[in-house]
Amino acid sequence: MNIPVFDAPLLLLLGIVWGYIYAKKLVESHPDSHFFFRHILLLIFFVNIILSATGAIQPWGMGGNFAVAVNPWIGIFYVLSYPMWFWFGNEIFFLLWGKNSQEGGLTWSLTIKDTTKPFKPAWKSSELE
Amino acid sequence: MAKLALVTGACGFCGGYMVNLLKQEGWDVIATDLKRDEHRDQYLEEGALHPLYYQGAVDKKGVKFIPANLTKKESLEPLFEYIYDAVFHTASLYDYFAPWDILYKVNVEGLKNLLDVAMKKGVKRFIHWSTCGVFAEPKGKAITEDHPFDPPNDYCKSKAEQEKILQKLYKENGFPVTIVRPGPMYGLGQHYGVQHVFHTLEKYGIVPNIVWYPKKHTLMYPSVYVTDMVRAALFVAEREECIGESYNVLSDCITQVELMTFLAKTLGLREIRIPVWWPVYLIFCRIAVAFARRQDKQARAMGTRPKQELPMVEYIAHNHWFSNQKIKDLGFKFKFQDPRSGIFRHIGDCRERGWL
Repeated sequence: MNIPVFDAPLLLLLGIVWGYIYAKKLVESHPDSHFFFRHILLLIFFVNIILSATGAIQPWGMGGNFAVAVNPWIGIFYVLSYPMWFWFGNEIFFLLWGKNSQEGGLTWSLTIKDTTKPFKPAWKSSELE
Repeated sequence: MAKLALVTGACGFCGGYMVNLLKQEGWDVIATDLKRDEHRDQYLEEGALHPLYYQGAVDKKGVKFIPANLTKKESLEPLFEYIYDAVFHTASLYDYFAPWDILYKVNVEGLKNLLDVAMKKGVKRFIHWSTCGVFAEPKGKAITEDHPFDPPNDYCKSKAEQEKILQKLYKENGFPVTIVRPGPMYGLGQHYGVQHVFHTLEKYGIVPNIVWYPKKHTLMYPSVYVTDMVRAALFVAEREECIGESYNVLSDCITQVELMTFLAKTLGLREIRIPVWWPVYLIFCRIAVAFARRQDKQARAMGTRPKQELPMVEYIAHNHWFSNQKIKDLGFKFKFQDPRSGIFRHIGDCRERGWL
């Protein structure tokens, strides 16, 4: 079975980049975008590897330079790990830089200037002083 | 006839609550603090923290506000045209970032000025706000009121100096002082100290919960809800046997591991438990303190403040384990004996206002 070796690091990188886009730009205006993007992205990766494994196309249509022949069981295990790589990339970003624009993650302590947004009231009350 | 009280620092966090409680209990109150403009100018001039100025309590009916400045003795004279049943001295510069000379000027010399005037005119009771931070590290058991002093930073050092002055005055002149030592205080309106812990966790978006091994090194967390604090101050002010005594005023201490687990649940953040061998933790603390020292220097050079001030970071290796048994033995009952009940309420109040 031929597998594209760069899929895992690519998913990790995409997870980090998407973590940034979602947390800092989209979480408030489009909170469901994370769900849709994650599934569409993984679907594309799965379709690519299924088609390339069956010999219908070359991985990513780029010839065999990025593909390595491995034992089919290792190949299946590798493919099933795709969601984990993307999730891991997301988590790295969220942990280090926060899950939304109010959070700064663990790196928040490392800078003097605070670039995060202030928190908003969690609910409305008519009894505030 | 209603009793008369003087509350210093009445536009501060704790002072405002003290005024409110006294009014509820039927006391007449003279409230004092800096004027709003003077408050702003002084803090800006001295580069110290600019705490919030709450005028709500002193604007109430039945409260007379006389502005004064502890560092200007002549401004304190008009306060003592009255004979007080009790003076509640909450006023203080509570700022870990402030340089020692400013802390000394406001907290130590300011107290001396107040005492000079008060002793001339006479007061029946003087309730002084100190801090549990004056003590040295505990040795295997909770710190009681007679534990030796070893303040870890300038703010606590200024509080220890205040206590020495007052204890000397009590011994030599029988000055009717009672010292209350609050643990870290929190409550609606508090923006400095305990609030930093909650705020930092919210900014992290996770709760790193360090679990120390061996377990004997588990660190404790002290705190007191502001309403319990002012109730305790009034409680000791109304008892003759409290003259010349000092009291730790704080809820029962819980472990920092318990606190972090509770905060994770209450703040809705993910808890990440990190088991650490104690010597490794001490190395981490040293690195954190060195980093905080660097940030402290950078912030001063930039004319701003770091997010976590150096003394606050230095606290991470200290065990803050204090006993509240002495005041409980007198019959005082904490409304928030388990700090989690008060913290839960406080976080709700902050969430409502967008402070967390």
